[in-house]
Amino acid sequence: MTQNMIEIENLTKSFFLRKRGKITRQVDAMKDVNLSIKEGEFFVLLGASGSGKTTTLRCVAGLETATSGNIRINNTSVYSSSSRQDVPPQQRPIAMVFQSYALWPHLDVRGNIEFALRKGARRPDPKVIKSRVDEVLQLLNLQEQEQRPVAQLSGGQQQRVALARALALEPRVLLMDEPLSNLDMKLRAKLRVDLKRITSSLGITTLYVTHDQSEALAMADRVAVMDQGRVIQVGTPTEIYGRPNSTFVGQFLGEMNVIQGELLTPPSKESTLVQSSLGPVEVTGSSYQGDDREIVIGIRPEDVRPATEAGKNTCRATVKARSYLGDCTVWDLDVSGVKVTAKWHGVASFSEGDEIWISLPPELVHIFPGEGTTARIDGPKRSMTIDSQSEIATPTPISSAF
Amino acid sequence: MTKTSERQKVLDVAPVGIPDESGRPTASNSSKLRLPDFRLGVVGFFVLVGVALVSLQLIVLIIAAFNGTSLFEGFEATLNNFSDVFLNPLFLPTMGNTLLLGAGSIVFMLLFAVPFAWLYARTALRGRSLLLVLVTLPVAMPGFIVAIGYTYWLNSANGLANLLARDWFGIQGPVFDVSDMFWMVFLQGTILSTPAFFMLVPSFEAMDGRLEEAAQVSGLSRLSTTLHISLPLISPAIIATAIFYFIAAIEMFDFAAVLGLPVQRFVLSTWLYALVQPASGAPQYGQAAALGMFAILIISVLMVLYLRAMRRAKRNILVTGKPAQQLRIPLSRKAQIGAWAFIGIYILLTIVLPVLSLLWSSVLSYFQAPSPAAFAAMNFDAYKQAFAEIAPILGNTLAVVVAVPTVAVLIAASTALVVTRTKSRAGKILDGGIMISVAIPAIVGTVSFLYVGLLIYKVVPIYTTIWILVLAIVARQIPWANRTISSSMVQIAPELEEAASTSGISKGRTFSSIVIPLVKPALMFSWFWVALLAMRDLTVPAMLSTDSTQLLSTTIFKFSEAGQRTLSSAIGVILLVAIAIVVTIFEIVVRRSDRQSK
Repeated sequence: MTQNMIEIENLTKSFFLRKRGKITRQVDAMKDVNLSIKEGEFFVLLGASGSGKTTTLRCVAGLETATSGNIRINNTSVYSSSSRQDVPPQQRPIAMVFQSYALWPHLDVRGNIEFALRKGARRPDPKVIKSRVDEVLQLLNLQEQEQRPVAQLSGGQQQRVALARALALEPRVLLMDEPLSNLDMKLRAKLRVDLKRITSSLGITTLYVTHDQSEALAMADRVAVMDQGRVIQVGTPTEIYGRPNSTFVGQFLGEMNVIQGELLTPPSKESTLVQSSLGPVEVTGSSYQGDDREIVIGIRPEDVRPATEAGKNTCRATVKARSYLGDCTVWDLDVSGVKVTAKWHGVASFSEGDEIWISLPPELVHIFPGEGTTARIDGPKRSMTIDSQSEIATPTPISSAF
Repeated sequence: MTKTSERQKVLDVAPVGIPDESGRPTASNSSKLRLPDFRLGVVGFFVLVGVALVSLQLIVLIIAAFNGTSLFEGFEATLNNFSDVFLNPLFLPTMGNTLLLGAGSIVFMLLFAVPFAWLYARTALRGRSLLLVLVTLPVAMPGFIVAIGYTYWLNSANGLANLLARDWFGIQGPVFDVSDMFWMVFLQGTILSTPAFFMLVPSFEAMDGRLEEAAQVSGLSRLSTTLHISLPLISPAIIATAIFYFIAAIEMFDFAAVLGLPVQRFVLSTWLYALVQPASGAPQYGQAAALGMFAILIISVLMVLYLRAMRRAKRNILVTGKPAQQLRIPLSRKAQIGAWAFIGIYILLTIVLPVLSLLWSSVLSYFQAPSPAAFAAMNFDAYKQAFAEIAPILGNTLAVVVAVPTVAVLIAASTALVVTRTKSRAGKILDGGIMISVAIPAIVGTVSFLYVGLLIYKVVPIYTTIWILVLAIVARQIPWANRTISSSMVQIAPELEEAASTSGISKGRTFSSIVIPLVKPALMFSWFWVALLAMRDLTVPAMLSTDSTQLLSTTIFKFSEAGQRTLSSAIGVILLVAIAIVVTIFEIVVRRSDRQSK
């Protein structure tokens, strides 16, 4: 499992807008993308639409040609701009599952699975075709639908046929372009588990594109977060979620309060002191190493803790609004003019207008480069009227962790 | 886990996708080194044939137009052909007639087509589907058969209508004269209403009825709603249709030939015919080519106008949006009756009258008004003779009816593949080339084929075979077949092809096994349609047919010109029956494939 199955080096794809033959504008759909995907790994490309994730996937598939860079699959170069090499998709050791499934409507379920095995460039010995098709039909529980026209299947069944068609090719690399996005939520959750189980039991290297962060966190061995054609961060789901390297990643995966600040001590892993809009904050375990003193700090709403009294890393907050979401309650708080969102389990008996203490656990506060951006608080925006006033409430069900 | 290890073993033994021992190129080879794809080769071949057919027409036309000497004596650059045509005393009257024919035809065409489209798409007319069937019927009627049928009615000497006027009303002297310009214009316009109807219906259907209702509830009267809301919305579509069929009207040969040639009243198409197939003297190929270039120039300008109008029409559809549910205008009982009477008149004019007179004429040895004596004289002798006449040309007709649609659909499907399924620049150029070929009138293109046929006769004697006819008719049908097939291909999601190529299917096989099966209905429809058009075409065969390459249509035309009414009527009836058979087969095939797909 140490060998790299897909290696992407400096992959760039630019579009040139021309006017009367002259290039007037250059748009980079993908810029200097570098990724190494290990054999058997389930690798997720995560990003918003237009982030370049699908372009990256399609370049690996050979459906699009990059402007420059290299792609190697299984130690064989399939694309190299310097040696003007571009292996067509049918000769790459891949299989692909499309968002729209792309089932061939004039063939039945078996026909869809069988077609590439009988006529493709990677066809196996004809004797094994039937058993291979039977195998994937069974694997995906499609035996009963075998003879049915694909147009008559439900969305979930169509999705499974698309997957079966790809798996029957026994590819080294399975490429999936938002394969679950056309399904309803319950089915999506179920197929998520199935997909992961099947690919890992077959040991297939999977490159999976999605814009759904929970899908990425749930399925991936590793995730690459992309934005505006660039890879922003690569890591395991816990690294990406727990140690985002930028406000973008922090806010793209989950929610994050972003607060302006200034370093008071040089950044260090042990302890860094920051003067923030909320007051002085101590941060531990930060890997920030920039020179700039102007920084921003981030903390996830669920990491903001209620406190009983003033102390280290605490501040006074006014409850502005609350939204009860069932499993938790989201609080809009105001700390001397700065909006802070907190998310706590259960029902707390605060009311709008209450003054409470909150604390920011030092190990859960992140330091990011200043970026010259204004602080954005990417919480759910709510407007609620302040309807009552009461004394400071008792602590929430969350035990004060420190 | 055992499964995983088994799988791993398989992968280790034969790495999928990187074939080596089979001798196929490995994945590290560049795409340029791949073996040529046979299927792509077939596509490429037919694209080349199509390009050759279209470019040949233009190139030969230019050479012929500027050639001052006989085509067998080499080339001598000159402008004399142009001056001969423009200074010919026939030029101005012919252009005047052509303009009158074009403009007049579209007036009568719109007179029927607009109400029909409105009735069909916007009103709660009872029996709308019957309207569709009835309006479709005249498509199968060859124009020259309609024209011949009307000469029996309106001929000034012994037209049935004139005879009846004399016998029943005692009117002496002819009331109707079919050789009047009016009839050429009126009949051609009436026949063009059918295709125009099909072009207008989508625009009428896309109109949002709620816009009209909004006007009415705002206090506008029915009339001002129509004038200020409905008409401005639909007019770009009507204008586009009018320009398109103006082109068709000035190209059309059938009516001008049957009704105009006997009295030497020329329009563009018949003058070209007269230059190439003169009653006396040598054919003037150079002048014909010069006139043809002039025609292409004018039509190109009209095409640009048409494309602009089409763009505006589409914009209007976008603005109004697609109505959730079409609101149909209710029609009163009187209006229903009036509408159906109008439809009835159209069917009477386009089908019943010409077919009746044709049938009547075919069973009488000499033409006369219906009377007990006439009924007693009825006989089927002409049919015996007709079958004897057409027996030797059946092979020709069969070759045309089978070969033309087959070749045309192969070319059209190949060009459509390149245009719609590749992102290459070649596709765009090809698309433009096909658009240009629309601007070449059939009769002008045929001049080119004639010229080439004669030029290469000593080397390749294609001129005396049926195949030159096949190629010329194919060249004429490519744009239409291409448009039908591409509009169907455009709808195939690109993912279906991408799914094939990522699972290892070659580009050529993706075309043949994925794209082609999905557009099969369009291919079948185009095949039958082109077969039908080839069967009834007179324009190309009239110019190109030699004694050995006669078709049903040219035989009818020949006997009609020679005054052999009975015989030409009988063959005309046979042609109509043959067309009916083709249409019926088509219906059966379509129904069957519909049922299969369900």
